[in-house]
Amino acid sequence: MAEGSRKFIKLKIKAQDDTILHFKVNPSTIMKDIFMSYSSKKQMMNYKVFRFFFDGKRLSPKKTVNELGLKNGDEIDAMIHQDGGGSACNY
Amino acid sequence: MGGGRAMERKRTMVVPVSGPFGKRKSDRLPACCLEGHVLLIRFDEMIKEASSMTIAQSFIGVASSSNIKCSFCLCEECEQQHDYFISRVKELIDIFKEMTYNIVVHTSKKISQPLKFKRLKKSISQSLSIISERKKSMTTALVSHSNPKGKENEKEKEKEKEEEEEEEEKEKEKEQEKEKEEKEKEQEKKKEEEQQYPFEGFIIDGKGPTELMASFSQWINEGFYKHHEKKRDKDDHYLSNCSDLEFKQLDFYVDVILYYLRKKSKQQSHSKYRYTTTNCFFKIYIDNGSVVPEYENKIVGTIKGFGIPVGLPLHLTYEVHVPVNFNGEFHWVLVVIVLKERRIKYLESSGFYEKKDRTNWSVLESYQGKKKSHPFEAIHATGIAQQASNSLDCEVFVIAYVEFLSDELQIPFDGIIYQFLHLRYALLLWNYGILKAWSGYVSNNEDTQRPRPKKVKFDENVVVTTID
Repeated sequence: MAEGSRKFIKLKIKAQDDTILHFKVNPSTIMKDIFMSYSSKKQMMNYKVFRFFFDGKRLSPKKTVNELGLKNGDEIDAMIHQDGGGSACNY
Repeated sequence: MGGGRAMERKRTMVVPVSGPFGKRKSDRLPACCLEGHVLLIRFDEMIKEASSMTIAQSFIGVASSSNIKCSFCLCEECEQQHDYFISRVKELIDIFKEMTYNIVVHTSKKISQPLKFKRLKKSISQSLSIISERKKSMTTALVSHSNPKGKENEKEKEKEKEEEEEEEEKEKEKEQEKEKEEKEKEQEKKKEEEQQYPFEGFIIDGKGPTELMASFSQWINEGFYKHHEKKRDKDDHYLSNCSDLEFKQLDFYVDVILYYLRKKSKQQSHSKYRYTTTNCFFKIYIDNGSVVPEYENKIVGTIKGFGIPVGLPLHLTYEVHVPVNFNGEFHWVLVVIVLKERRIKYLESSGFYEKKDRTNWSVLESYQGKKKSHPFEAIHATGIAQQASNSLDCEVFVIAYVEFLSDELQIPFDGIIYQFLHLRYALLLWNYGILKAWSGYVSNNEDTQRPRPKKVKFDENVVVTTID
């Protein structure tokens, strides 16, 4: 394929500690691939450890970049998921 | 312009129907006598073949050919009638010659026959009818074949067809309009009937959705468990999914219900009590606000009602419900910021508060030099329902507190059973999802999107990972 026909979108993923990773993706890339590579860069085995947000909304891992309407230069937030049970304090 | 075109269309649609050449019975020339029959067939053929200029000539040819006597019957009566007929036809030829010009003009304009031509046909038919009376019996068989299928008739038929089609189109359009109106009405009705959020019609203080229980338990037994039974290593599948639901995605589940409660408050705009809830990551934004400067923007966005779906700006609300997760302590707590009374209420479902060390406000830098009246007064709400000592249900209790407060109800001291709460939320969310899938509607999106930053500059030195 010619280089001109490929349009890459640049995305930033920002962690809670202000570290940013840059990604160059195709518009048809499934979000899961991006999440997987992000979590592998962060040395996490499971991408579900993170919650990914854009503009306050959770990003579904099954959808593509284009479907979610992400554009060049958009910044995604990665938050570590929160657990809570309530019994821990009783020990 | 569009309106004008539509008008023109309508006009062209109306004219052929209301005009003088509307529907009428197709003119059939009564072909009865043999001569008449032969003549008419030829006449039709001529009309078929003839271009507009040669009609008259060809017609004369027909007339001359009709001088040949009838081959079937040679009786005197027939001869007399034949002579009479030919004399009639000759008269008609003269009229026809006058007519030809008119025909040319009119056919070129694609308008159906002129009136004079009709009269001509009538006169022919009259002349033929005289002969026809006696020899009906002979010609019945021939009549069936003699139906004139001239160009005129074809044209008429075509026009009739066109008219019919136009009428049909009109009718269709009318029907479509009616259908549209009906659909709109139905949609309006549906919108009225649609559930805007899963808790609509179900108050937490009530007995609960007992009507839905049967269908839900049926779905659980027949749909959910059966699905897992089919898998070979069903235990692993079920447990993995189960663990996902109950532990790994707890924040998601809290977030979803808080989202619907936000939606509820937005839908009930008439009620005086206004509240909003925040994302469950709001506390992290606050914690890391000093570390990550952009989180401050997120907090500001949430306060303005941008950062979260269906967010309300805080200046319009009385209370803000913030779910707080103590990540190290594995516990959910509800913090209610009562903006109206400058208070922070602290609600939690276990004895967590007593075991924690208090923050000494006066030591903190941000509170130094300020009186006690400056910061929000922190209150620990007591006398609310508590979870069992060894249970893991704090997040359900947190949600239940929010729901009680959202309905302006007193949180009961006792009587909240955690199984009931689990079932209630699972059932309501399931029901809402099914309703959405059946009636094919999507929840209204009332988000106000934040404006995107206009120009983004990438540093060229940054490591970029490419994914295909």
